[in-house]
Amino acid sequence: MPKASLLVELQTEELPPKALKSLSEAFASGIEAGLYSRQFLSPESRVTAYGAPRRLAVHITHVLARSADQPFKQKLMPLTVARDAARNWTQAFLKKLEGMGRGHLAQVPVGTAAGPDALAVESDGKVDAVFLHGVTAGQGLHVALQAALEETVAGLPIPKVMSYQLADGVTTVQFVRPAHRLIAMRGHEVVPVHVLGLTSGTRTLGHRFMCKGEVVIRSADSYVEQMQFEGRVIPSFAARREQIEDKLQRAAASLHATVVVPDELLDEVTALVEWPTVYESGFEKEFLSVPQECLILTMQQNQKYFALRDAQGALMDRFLLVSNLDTHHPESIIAGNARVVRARLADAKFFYDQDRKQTLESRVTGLASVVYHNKLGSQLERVERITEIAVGIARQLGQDITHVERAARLAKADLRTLMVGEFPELQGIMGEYYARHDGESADVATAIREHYQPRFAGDALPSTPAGTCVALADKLETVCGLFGIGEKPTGERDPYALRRHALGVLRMLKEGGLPLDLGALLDQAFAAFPAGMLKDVAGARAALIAFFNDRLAGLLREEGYDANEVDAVLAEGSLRIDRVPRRLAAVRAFMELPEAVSLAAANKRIGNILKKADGVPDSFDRALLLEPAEQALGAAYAEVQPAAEELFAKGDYTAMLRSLAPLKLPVDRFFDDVMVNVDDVRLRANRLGLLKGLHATMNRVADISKLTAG
Amino acid sequence: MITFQEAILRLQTYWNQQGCALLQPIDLEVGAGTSHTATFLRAIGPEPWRAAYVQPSRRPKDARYGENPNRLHQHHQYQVVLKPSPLDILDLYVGSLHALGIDTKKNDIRFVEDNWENPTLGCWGLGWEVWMNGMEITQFTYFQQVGGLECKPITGEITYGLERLTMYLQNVDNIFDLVYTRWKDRGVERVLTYGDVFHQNEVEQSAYNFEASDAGVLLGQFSLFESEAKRLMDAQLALPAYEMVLKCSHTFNLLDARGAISVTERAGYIGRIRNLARAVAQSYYESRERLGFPMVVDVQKQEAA
Repeated sequence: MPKASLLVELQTEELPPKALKSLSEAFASGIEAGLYSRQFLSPESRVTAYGAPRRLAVHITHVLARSADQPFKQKLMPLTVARDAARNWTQAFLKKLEGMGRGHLAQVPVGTAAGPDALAVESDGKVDAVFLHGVTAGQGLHVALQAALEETVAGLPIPKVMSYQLADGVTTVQFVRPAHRLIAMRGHEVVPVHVLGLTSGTRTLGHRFMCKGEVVIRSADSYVEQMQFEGRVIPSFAARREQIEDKLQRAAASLHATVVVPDELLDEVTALVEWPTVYESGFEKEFLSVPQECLILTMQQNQKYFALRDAQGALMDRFLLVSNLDTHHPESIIAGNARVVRARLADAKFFYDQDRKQTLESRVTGLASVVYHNKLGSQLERVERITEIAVGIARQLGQDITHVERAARLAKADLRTLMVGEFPELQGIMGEYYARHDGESADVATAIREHYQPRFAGDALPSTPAGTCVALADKLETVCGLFGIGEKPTGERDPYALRRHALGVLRMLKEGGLPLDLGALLDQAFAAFPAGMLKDVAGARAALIAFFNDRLAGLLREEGYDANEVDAVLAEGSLRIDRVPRRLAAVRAFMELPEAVSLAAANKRIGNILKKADGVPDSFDRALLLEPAEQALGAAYAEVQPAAEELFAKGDYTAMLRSLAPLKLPVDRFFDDVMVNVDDVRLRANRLGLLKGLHATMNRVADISKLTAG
Repeated sequence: MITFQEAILRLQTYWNQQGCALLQPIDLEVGAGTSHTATFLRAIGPEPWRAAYVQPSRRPKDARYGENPNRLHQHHQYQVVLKPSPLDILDLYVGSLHALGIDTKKNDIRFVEDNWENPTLGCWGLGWEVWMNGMEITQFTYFQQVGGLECKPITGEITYGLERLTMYLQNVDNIFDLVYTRWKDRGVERVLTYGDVFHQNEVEQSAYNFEASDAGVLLGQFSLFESEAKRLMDAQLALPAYEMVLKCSHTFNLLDARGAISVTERAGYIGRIRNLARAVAQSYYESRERLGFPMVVDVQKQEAA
């Protein structure tokens, strides 16, 4: 069967830029899946998705015009039920054939074809049965595409569905934005389908302002070229994105500058233009006195401009803009954009100048009128709690508390500034600028910025001790407060980003090697809340420990440790997160020992025995060890235990686990030769006591038994 | 150069040609053209509607004593509503830019997603802000819900910010320098500026909003307008009731500008207005239903004929 390319394009009004990419991908994969499941595609079929502000399209090569006939075989009935003693068809069988619209098959002998179908008697593996051999006729592409199109449109990830009326002013349809043209072509031929009140054809619209009239597509394979030359549209999202990036880089190079290109902004701009053209514009030098973070955010967020840096990395008074219009007279575009940005930057400068007229210190009391959470009080109350927790942490770490206390007190003061009101993502960053302006110490200023770190996965940790103390306190206060009023994350819902906060705490403790116990930190944080504000602190604390453990397990798995290693270390239950890396390293080294597997198995066995036993003593009497095997184990344990404990106390976990190796043989022999659960109560208790000591020593660093499986 | 009033005239002429009823502003204080009965109420129910008008729009909080080049206590919107929204509504809009003398081959016009929501009025819609060379000149919305009621058919709403648009067309950086109109007086070129017309109003209204308004009086008014709105709805007088809701809304804006409403109280007041707006929308719908949606019948008759 001949194969040709298929093109489907839905031409619409301007689509939401943040959703365009996913809409375009879903449109393409929906059509692909619909045609694939209906057997219209070939192994060599290649699918290309197109997405531009005014269109979603897909091009698929090697598409059949008609799907192949499909032979099938279906068991109808066991022969004994289908035929009576006289070898005539039973009523039940005839009824079944009629029901399938194949009554005529009863008229011809079994095995004789009647049209595409035939009956046959074959064994179904147990008994002989009557089978129908038939053929499902293939279908035309228009039938399959119609179904695929309907499924695809119904399943698109539309952020907000829009209702609108068709040309009759009455019929209501729902889509992202009104759709105006539908193309469905296989090769040069239109595939007749319809959706959203549109009937497929060959016509589409090009660029809103640079293309006159309709573009008549000649064939599915000429779409991209025709859109580019006649329509002045680059339909491919990826091609447009690449072109924009290339043009930005070239323009920057010609200015001896580097251009700041965040991925998100590039995606958004790609979704806002059909024919990207880069122009250069600029603003007055005086605005460069405003912190560059403010200028860059103003340009990016409000205007979708790309900022430029000079060879020294300093922000320039020029920027690049991506226009949808290619013109020999770009003066209006350049001047117009310059005017807009001037007004925006004037606002930013105004905010900056106004904000500096008041010190951060003077803003702190005003935080009393900023609600943090209706159950957790104002931002001022929160600042007081953070300060208390941060100072406690600084004391434990033996640090000077003056800077920590000051930084914690001023940490949230920038929330009351105009600039942070306008750009919430500048919180902390503006705090640092304003603190420096106020003459606060460098330590305090840096800590104000750093206390929000890490802001996202992979972000840097605070670089200063003061920053670390306040960052820990900020995050602990957040998770304890919100868990304490029952605001735990559930499933996908984590509106307060508590997972991120917990991960931040864990990373600071672990990567920073801070000798702090997480349990003690939580106790300190809970203690900072006034009595009665939180409900069921014990329950919240337990839930938080589990929450932190889940995050820690995830973090370690991401670092490449396997599930057994992670389980073994976390089951040990210590909340000294700083020691976790050494424990993991020790477990890894231990597992390389030839004795490891059988020690782990023995450990598991001991654990099971102890679990079932009652009244196990904490010690054992070597004099009561009677059998040679238990005497040997007792001796080996007496040898290993003090040294192991000493290594553990020194924190040399790897050597500690290694020192267990000599226990392997005696342990194995013990289980071969000695019965633990004997009738003699004294002997049994003594053996259990020995096992208990052994178990405790073996599991000091990690729960060794977890290392058995896999 | 196109004057402020010429811009209005051109829009009037253009939308007249598109079959819009050219209405006058609503004679009450409102924050936007959407609050005019010609938009808010006419968007409800099945009856078709096309209208265009200028609406002076008061935003007490934005008042700046006439000292800020971009912000005003009262600005002017040019509002167009088409119901049901015709399929070529965006082309019609682009046509209006041409009517204003904007060359769309030299100016970068972009439709940037901007969905509109007004929880106070129980409204939301989908649409764009229209950018010309990076500046927002129009808000474009396909209404989806008004007063808590689903729109069917939907209304397309086009709102031009007249000051911004003309500042751009006149290449003026200060609103008060806009040329409102010009004429020749005994051979001498004379100019009336936007400032000549409105500056004193800005100064005095700012003083009222921030200093002279009496929060006690306003609070009393709010309660009065609220209870009147309820009483009038009970009397099946949807339009007078709606006017009371608008008065409530403006009184709230004055109280807000005066700083007389705390953050916690704010949500309570907005909730009260929202309940009124929903009730009045329902009340208006029922009043049209009682009349048998007379404007729909006309359309169907025409189609039958």
